[in-house]
Amino acid sequence: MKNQFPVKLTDDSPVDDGLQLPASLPEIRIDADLHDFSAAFLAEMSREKKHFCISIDMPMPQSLSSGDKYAYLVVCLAPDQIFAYSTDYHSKILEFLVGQGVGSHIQELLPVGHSIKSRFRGLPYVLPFGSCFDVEVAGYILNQIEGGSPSFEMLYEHAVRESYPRFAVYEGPDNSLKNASENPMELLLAQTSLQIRTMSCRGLPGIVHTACNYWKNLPGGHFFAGELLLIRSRRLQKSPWKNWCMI
Amino acid sequence: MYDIEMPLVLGLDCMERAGVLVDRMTLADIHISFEAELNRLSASIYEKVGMTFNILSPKQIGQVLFDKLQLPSGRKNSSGTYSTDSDELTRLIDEHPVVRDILNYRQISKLDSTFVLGLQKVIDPLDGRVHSSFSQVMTNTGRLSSAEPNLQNIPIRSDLGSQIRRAFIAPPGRVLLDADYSQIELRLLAHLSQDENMMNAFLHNEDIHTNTAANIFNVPKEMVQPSMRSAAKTVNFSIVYGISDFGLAQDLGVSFQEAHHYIEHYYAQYPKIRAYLDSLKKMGYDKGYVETMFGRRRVVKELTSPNRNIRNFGERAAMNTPVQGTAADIIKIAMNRVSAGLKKENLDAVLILQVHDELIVECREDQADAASVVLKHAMEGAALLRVPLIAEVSQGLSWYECKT
Repeated sequence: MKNQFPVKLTDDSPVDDGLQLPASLPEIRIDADLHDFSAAFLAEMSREKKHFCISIDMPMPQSLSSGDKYAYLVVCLAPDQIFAYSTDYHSKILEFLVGQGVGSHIQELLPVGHSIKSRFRGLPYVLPFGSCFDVEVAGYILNQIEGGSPSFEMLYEHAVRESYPRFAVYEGPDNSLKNASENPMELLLAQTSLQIRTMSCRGLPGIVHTACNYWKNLPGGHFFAGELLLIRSRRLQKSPWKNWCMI
Repeated sequence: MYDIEMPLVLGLDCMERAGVLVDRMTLADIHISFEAELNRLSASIYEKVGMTFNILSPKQIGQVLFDKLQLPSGRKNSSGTYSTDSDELTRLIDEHPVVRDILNYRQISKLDSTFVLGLQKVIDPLDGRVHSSFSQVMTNTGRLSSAEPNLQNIPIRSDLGSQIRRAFIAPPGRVLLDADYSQIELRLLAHLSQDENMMNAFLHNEDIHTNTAANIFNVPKEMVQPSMRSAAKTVNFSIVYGISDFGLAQDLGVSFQEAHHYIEHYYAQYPKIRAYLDSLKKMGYDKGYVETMFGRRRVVKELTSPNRNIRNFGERAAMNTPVQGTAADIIKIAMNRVSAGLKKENLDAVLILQVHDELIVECREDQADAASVVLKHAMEGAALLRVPLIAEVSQGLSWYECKT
């Protein structure tokens, strides 16, 4: 089952494709073999599709203690292809992505993210991409969001015209949903939290954060699409990108 | 705009990670000298008023100055206590010698706590450097902001404040290069307004402040005194900020009529500037926003306010943003060019700091000349204007040394 999530731009013209959300959280493959990852990456690359969103997330450095291994690099190759890698794998995954042209000046694959510089401050080295697209900076350039720094939540509400979903929780012995909502994103997030509790990765530190980032990846791609349209319409960009990945 | 801001994301990441080396010993020395001066000043203050009190307490200062010493009181705060902010104390400076001491005490105390002690707390123990965080999305004009620590507000005007820059140093075998845009906002005003008189002054490398002084004081250029030039400098910079007659009178300490006279003479000398600034206000009212040369927009919603003071603020923002914002765009372009240029020339040099119109690069000592050329070229070629864009590069072993 798929949820259709209509996204609108500021001028109220609808984006041609809605936001597709899977009904449940797919399996998150943790520290999977790199050969499996590269095979999955190449398979997704070879498909004809508009969105090729790779979600790469890291907790903010201040939320980590020294030597923490829970800064998962979440790589969503497709809605049902989610990989999460602990710290030891980060450089290999990033090197692989750079090797595949992500963020290169060939301009085939653009890493997209919100507040990229801050989110990757925990990396012990400069983010290896040559280029990127930050939806926060783009929101600022477009001056869509009042008050300077456009948070992810503000960008979401601006693009989707609905309040940002909260992590609803299942409570009690029957796991009933507290504060049930008609908001599809909110329901999915709630389901995610339930799934996390029953998955094999239950109890794994940082996994809720990881799952949350997975969900953020989906609207994040839409912010990018909407912002890019506006940037082009205002002629604020010289060269278009053919593809992108979401970080 | 996209091509300015997006490459800068990763450029700023590099700059933050590089950080600036800070000499703890220098900071400690400055702290000792500041403490000694604070002790001397407090003794002097207590002696002058005949009692001890908390010099950093605005309430107690109010009681000492207005109740005990019976100085003429001015404004009161909403809480009913006397206002003792720096404007208020400056007004009283000739009324009693203790006022100057209190102002100096406050200044040194602020410098010590915010910059000397504050910087010591944020030095990374692993590399001895300070890694500030720069944000692209915090200001209305497009300027970068700096936090944790804010390295963009380290004082430069006062001699004591500028001492703090002694603590920002280059590691052994390396030097700092400091490049400053020369009068970038005035050059942009000349470019954007296309005022022939101002453009000619820059094209002929004339001193713009002396030119303005000669006009507003109605004297030949060679008769312009330093005080006249200083006043003209204030007028030149204030106009860009849409200053009123009243504001200029306060800044220069002259009468309202005199300030009005200066402004009128200024506009007579540079007639297209008034037309240009008026066009910006009109654009703000008509479209609801103003733009920089590179298309950065600032929505000026204050212009729709029924409150006149808020509308006046909006008008000043509408007049200032295209100039200040374009300067911000240009330095960002320059930063991208500097990073690319240093890399292309394979120089062991890295951009470590941006302070509005100023860039600082740390580089290997034997590559300083080559890096200086890259820096100057990148900054001066960042935009094509009707007047020259000039960047002045200096080098030194500390930030302070670069500036002296």
